[in-house]
Amino acid sequence: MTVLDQLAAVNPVRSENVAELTPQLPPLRIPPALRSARRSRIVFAGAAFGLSAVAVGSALAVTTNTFESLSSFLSSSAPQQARSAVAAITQSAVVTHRFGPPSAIELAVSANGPDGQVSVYRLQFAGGAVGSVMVDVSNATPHVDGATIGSQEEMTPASGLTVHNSFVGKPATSPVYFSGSVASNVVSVELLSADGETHPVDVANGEIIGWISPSASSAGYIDAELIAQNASGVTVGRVDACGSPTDVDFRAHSSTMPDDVSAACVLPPTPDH
Amino acid sequence: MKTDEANFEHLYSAYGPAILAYALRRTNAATAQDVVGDTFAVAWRKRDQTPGEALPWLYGIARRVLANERRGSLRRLRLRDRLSYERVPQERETESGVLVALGTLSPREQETLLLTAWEGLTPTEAAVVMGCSANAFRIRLHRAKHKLEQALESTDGPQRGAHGAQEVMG
Repeated sequence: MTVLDQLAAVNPVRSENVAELTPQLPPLRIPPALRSARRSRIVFAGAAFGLSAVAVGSALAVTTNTFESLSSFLSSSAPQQARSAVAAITQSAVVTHRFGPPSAIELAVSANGPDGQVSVYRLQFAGGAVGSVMVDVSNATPHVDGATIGSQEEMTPASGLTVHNSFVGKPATSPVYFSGSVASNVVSVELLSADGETHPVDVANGEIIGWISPSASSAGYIDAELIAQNASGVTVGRVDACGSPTDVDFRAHSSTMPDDVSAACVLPPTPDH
Repeated sequence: MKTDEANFEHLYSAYGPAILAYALRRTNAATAQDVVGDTFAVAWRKRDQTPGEALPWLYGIARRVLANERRGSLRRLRLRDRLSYERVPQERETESGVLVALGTLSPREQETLLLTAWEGLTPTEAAVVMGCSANAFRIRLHRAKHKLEQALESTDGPQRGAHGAQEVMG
């Protein structure tokens, strides 16, 4: 009896029994078309914020009724950085041209980051689109960051988590902040780093905001995972966060990574300048 | 698009059970179902690359899905008291010496043997799964069989236990 015969003798599922597994097959899920997360990038100058504005198709439900008019917001007691960010969006030629100026705004989710408060504000545009802006109110120094404009499909339970944008104030010193959206059935999101440490990510009103600490990187690389769960504790969305502390790539959890972990989620080292 | 979906549903009904069996041979039932779902999600995205012989191609995707699942599990295991990586389910190790011996081989060597012994693939088909040439697979299979034979002798013979295993791994 050869070793292959010995192995075949302990086959947990013999080939003649494979057809009997058909009833155990999970329902076939044909994923929706992939979203185009980053259509264009716009740079705003002279504003004290890091922002991402994602104009979203009108199918994305906005169920809260805490929107206020833009003029009211701009004259409110909201943090100056947030008002600056929204004002910059309003004045953006690209945003205005494609979507019109935002007509209303609400605070979606806020969190106390390592350097201070960070928030996601949700915007409504006159044409029915909605978007979001991530604001770091800890950064009082005038800072330039970008806005991401694109279209996006409605979040579904099958695609429970997506990250829209991220920014780093001071590379390798400041955290990498990120914001995104979750499906309506998501009740919690946690950040799982390669060393096994977990950190909760703030979730509210279908939006998330969180950060990856520079200390979470290993040998200069970040290899983490965002996991969204529903009320039953079932994972309904996963996003990989890979890269260097200055350039983290957030992407849908890959099922096609190579076996070698070190090659799966690591960028080549960037030479110091 | 309708044709795409119909073709894909046919692919799923034809090969879904085999992919589920592949996963069930290597992990628990709950994870196996996830592996099937993820495998066909990837296959759908790459449907324009589906080869004529789809099953080895699907096995190859499932293999990477499973490796990725283990990678995620590894993070969670580290979280939970830093348990060791489970290469072969524990309950099977107590059942058969051949599985104990198999567990001393590298994951690639294990997979080389199992694709032949459990999935019944030819070297040409298994080479597609492993992403190598058929000739390279034959060489790997030959070496893996030799290592497994040595490991079996080591696990059978109490005098040669750990030392024999070290020789095998070396």
